[in-house]
Amino acid sequence: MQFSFEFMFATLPALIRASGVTIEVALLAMLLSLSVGTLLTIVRAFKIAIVNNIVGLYISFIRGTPLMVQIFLAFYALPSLGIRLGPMTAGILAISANNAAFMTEIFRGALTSIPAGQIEAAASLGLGPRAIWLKVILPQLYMRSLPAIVSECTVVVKGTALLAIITVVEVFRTAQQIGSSSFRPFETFAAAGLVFLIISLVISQFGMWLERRYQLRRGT
Amino acid sequence: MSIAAIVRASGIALATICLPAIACAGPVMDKIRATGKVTVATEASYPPFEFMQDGKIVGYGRDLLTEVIAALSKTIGKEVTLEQLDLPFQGILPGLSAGQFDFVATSVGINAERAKRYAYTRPMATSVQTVMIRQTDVDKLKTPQDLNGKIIGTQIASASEPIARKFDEKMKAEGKPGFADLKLMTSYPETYVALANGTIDAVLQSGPALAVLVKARPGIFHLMGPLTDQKSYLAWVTRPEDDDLRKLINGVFADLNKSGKMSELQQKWFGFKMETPDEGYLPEGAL
Repeated sequence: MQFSFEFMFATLPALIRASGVTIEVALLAMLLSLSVGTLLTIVRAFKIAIVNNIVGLYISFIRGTPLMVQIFLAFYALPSLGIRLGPMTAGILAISANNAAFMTEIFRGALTSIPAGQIEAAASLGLGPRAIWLKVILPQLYMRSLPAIVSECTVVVKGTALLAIITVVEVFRTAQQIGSSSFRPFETFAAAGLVFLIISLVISQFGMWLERRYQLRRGT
Repeated sequence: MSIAAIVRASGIALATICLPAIACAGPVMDKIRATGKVTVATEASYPPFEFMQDGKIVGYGRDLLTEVIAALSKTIGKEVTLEQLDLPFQGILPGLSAGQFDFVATSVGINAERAKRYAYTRPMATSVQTVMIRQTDVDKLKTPQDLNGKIIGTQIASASEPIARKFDEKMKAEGKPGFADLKLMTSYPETYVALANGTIDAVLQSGPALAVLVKARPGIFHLMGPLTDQKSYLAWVTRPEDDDLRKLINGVFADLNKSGKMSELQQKWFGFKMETPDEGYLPEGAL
């Protein structure tokens, strides 16, 4: 089959329009998973055995099953438990739940790299637990795990392509629609790949910019 | 794990999980009457049955749906608004069971296995599972028997899949090698690309859709003809408990067929007419 660059570029406007949905889902999922990841990291630091077991179970379920299955369950299986979510809500929640588990693990790694002496010093200066988390631990946690957070965010963007299975028409499904009605799936999928690549590049560039900023702040 | 395998695994997981949902979902006609809204699932990547054009779902099935919605509005005595969702085929039947849509308006091949769990409407198209090959193989692959030792591709969980398997078993029973491999892709358009680039040697799909493809992309593909002479019917699907809705759709289809409107629409989208029966289209043990 002859590859037509002309056709590939002609599909871009429709795909860029559809990327609105992709970006919306990805941004919300990133925010939610960062928040939940932070929350779970703090909760875990309390070292309550039962709670930590539950968090551990959650993380191993998420890491042990494909995102596709999690999305499928959120939309098609939850209704049988009486929880009926719209496709967008189910999709955003499934991706967030998935990503939050990975964020929690990333933060766990970063947390161990913060010297205990800092926290002891903060405590001996009279800082309460709230201030220690907000002023001492979390800022460093985010800075140290920034490269990993950024790479997780690009995973989120690519994960949105799986939402087609639950009726969310985003970039990938739009490409399928154009590809099947024009009988040129090759060109449309290449164009969809290009759109995903551009979104991911924007995220990774933004991450680099943040890293440079924090390096200045740290004076390194 | 490939996507196809994941879809299949989650499908099996769902089949077990969703059983209670089937039992407790309420009759859909009451819901439509109360809300004035109907939600329909379509796989809009199956031209000319249903596909996207200028951001809208169009095609033979969409034209039929317009007629069905009009009849539905008349039955309940008020204008029904239509919400038509587009999703990949693998999500369509599980989603119907889970109650995420009211019925399925996409071309679903009638087969015995599905008919035990889902309520098929009267068929609106007839098809024969047809083999498509590369134009360059026309001299090598002439009859279905030439497919021995070749790689066949089709859509996973489609009506074509069991027919391909049956044909393969038949050839093996006759002492022939059978297909070298049966590749199951998530959608038909992927099989076209695989055929064009040589990953597979033939595509198996229902005839009407392939006829339109060969016309749209001349010089690349060639229709070998039917794999078996077994006819199959394409229909829509409702939930088993929504018998009143199924009867309504059946009535619309039968009327359209009688008045000649159905063949008119077939002429418009396919360029030829198909015979569809009013009865006797369901396999034994069907709902």
